[in-house]
Amino acid sequence: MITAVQKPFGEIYSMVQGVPRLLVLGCGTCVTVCMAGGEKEAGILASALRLANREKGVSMEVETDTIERQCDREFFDPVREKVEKADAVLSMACGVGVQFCSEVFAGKRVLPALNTRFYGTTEQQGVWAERCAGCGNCVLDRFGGVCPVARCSKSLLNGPCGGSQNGMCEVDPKNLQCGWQLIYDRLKLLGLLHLLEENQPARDWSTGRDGGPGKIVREDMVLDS
Amino acid sequence: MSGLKADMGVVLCTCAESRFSRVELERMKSRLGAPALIEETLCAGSRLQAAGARLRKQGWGKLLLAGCPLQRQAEPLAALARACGLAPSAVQGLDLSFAARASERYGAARASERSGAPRASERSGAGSAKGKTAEAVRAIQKGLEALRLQPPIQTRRVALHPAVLVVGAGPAGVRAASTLSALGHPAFLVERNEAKGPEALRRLLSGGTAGPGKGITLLAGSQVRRLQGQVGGFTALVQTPQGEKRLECGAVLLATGLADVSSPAAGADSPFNGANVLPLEELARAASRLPRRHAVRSLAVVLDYRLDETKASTEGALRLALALQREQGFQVHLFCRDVRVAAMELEKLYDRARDAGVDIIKYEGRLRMRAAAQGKGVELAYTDSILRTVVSLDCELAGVSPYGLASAAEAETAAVFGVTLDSLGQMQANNIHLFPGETNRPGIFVAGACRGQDYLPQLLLEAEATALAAHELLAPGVLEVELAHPVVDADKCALCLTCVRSCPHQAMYVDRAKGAAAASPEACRRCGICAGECPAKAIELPAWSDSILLSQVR
Amino acid sequence: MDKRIVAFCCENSALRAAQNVEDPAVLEAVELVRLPCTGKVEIGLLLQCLERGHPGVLVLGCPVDNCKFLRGSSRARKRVDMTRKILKEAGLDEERVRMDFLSSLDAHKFQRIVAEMRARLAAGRPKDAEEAPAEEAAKGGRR
Repeated sequence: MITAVQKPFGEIYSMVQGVPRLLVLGCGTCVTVCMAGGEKEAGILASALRLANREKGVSMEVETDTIERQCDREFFDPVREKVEKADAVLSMACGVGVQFCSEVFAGKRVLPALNTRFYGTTEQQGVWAERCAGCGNCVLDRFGGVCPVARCSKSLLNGPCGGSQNGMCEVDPKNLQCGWQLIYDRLKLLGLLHLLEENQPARDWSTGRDGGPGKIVREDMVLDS
Repeated sequence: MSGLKADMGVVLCTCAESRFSRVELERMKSRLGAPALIEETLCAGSRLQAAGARLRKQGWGKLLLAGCPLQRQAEPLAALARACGLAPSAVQGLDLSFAARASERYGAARASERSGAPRASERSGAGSAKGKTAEAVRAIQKGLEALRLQPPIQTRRVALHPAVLVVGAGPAGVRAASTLSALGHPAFLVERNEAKGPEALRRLLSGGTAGPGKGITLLAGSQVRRLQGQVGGFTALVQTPQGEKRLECGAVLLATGLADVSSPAAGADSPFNGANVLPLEELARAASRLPRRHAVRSLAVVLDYRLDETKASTEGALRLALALQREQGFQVHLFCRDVRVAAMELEKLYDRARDAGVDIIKYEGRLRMRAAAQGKGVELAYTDSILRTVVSLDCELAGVSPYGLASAAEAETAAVFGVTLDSLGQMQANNIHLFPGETNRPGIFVAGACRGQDYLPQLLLEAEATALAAHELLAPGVLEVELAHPVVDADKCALCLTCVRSCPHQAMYVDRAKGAAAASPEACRRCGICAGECPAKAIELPAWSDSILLSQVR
Repeated sequence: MDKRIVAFCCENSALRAAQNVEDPAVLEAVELVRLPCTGKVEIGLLLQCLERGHPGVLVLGCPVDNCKFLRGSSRARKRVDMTRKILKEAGLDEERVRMDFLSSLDAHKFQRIVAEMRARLAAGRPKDAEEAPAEEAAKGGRR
């Protein structure tokens, strides 16, 4: 899922200054799971804002609500009135939700409470780790299910660099595992080491971020009327 | 406090321990603004039924018992609830000691009580008679508000399957299975080791108490692969030599014994290298296979490698050291951090070992073993407690006491049963509320060496006691469960699995039909951890909802 | 009426200890809230108490290795630590929220904890937070 972390409070606080009526809008999907922007976090942030305001003598109305998702139009219906009444919305969704909320409520200022990080997995409760870079051309079949694009710091496709020591990456030798060590170990376990003998050519990166804003269309699913 | 429903009432007790005089109670009753009864003899258990009948006539759906020490005890409260025909959660106790103590130091209450008419106090703060009842009234009103916000709670009867699944046919498992079988519970005794089957059978038959055909089914060479369900209705999928079997039981008793550390792959911390560093029980056999030489062959017996040794394992090690030392040609060095001889005969055994020539070495901290520099053997490096320097000693073989060594197999077993291991890898969380034989999961018990008890007499006693605890649980045949478990809002639930992971009792699960998390009422202990963790605010405990807690914050 | 210090008390330990408190000053200073386990507390709940104008919040329960529900106490500790961090970032005195551990017999400890909290609050920022905005405004507007 998409993972995100809350921006430092100080940054959020200065972002919302000058807003007389603020709506803190939580999101019930990805950011709930990674504990950054769900109903609970939205409530906590709203409380913190109110307490900080009171402490500094700032007059601001802080309202809260949470919807299922902020990346699908229909989910905004239940909070339409609240959004309209507010002077600005502090969205607790990922970057997608913040932007979409902005589109749906054109003319309403929508501010981001989170920094969106990566596509990741829950390794254990409270720990999320990146797995996918959204490159648009998946080659996991050639690497035993470990992605060289996302899990190698340099996105190397033909083996590790010299900075791989004791299975750790030189970028952070204490905490960061070398993606290529993982690939090697996995292919060895699967008995597929010979796959590494195949040379990976220079990659066309335009299938991912480097190709500009992406779009997917399923013609058969588009409604005619 | 306005708006209190008439189907709720307060019971104030005038017994000597209630700390309030009749006069004070009358005053409180008039100030409450809620129906209240003053009872004289609620505390005397015999009068509980009669009191219950009286209260039943009031037609109250919920009841707050205030002032009397009875409310501090769960049993009488539950009994009162039953007498009134109410669910346990519908009867709440409120301790007014906090409110009452205030004025006792000033004695004002006593004086006004004797005169019969309450004397108006100059101070109306907490340290006066008026203050005392004002505080009590306030506390009662708070209690009533919490009770009012509590929804009606039903109870459900859960059938308790009489069978017990005992895992491990060692001394603890056999004793437990025998005890249970003698009390009428069908017992399944599952033992991983095929070879131990006949031994277990012998033990069972020699015990004379029970055996196969008398209610104990022995499944040797078998392992539990999966455990489903909750207390009263577990289903175990057992892999046996004859194929997979499904067993139904009401309780599980884990007696898996000491960790199986003989495999070199037992864990990253395992000292065993399969060559010359071995589990202690294999030392004698390996030593007998050493080539004979003219020179003395050194053997090491290592204790306290990870955990402090127990008396039982110390005794075993001393006997082995003595036996090997007496055999010509061996010099035994016994390494330990502390010599534990404070048990009958143990001190004598120690002396005999010393006299026979066993070299007892006290070391500090960790002992390190690695391949010896020249030829075959083990180099043991340790900090000598007397010399205070690091000393190295070469031995042909080293036998390490397996006590306290963790095994990957333990973690696997624990995962199958959903049982929390303690920091030492033992099959029971290190929490006094669980001792001796409970685990984090209701209905799953534990006994023997797997929870750290390997002193045989004590172990057998505990195994029996734990079996009795399982019997106590299952004997009624049915469990009256209050449906006060957490309610999950399926619309909000994001299936993040936080509650499932956080529940210490493994009571939360995913209800696939609802597409949301749910709680098992029979396993849930109503601690509220799940509700506190839920990032979607989707979980609510009926008796402890946010609105109830906030109502208490005035 | 003056707002009291809110004390969220585990019913297995802190609440019982509270019942044996002798000091009437403690009685007046504290608002007891009963919990099945401190593991029930939430950051949002603690902040709401402060929003309502309570000067301080205490979370009192069993020592971490003695929790009846195994990990309730330790979960609560992490949540209280998080709450203090949030308070600090929001510019409030983090000492206004505090967790402590005691057994059901520790009436004296209960008294001491409350007394220390009161002393800390008195020494720190103004207790009555409602007054603060007026003062700040008088000092020359918002930041």
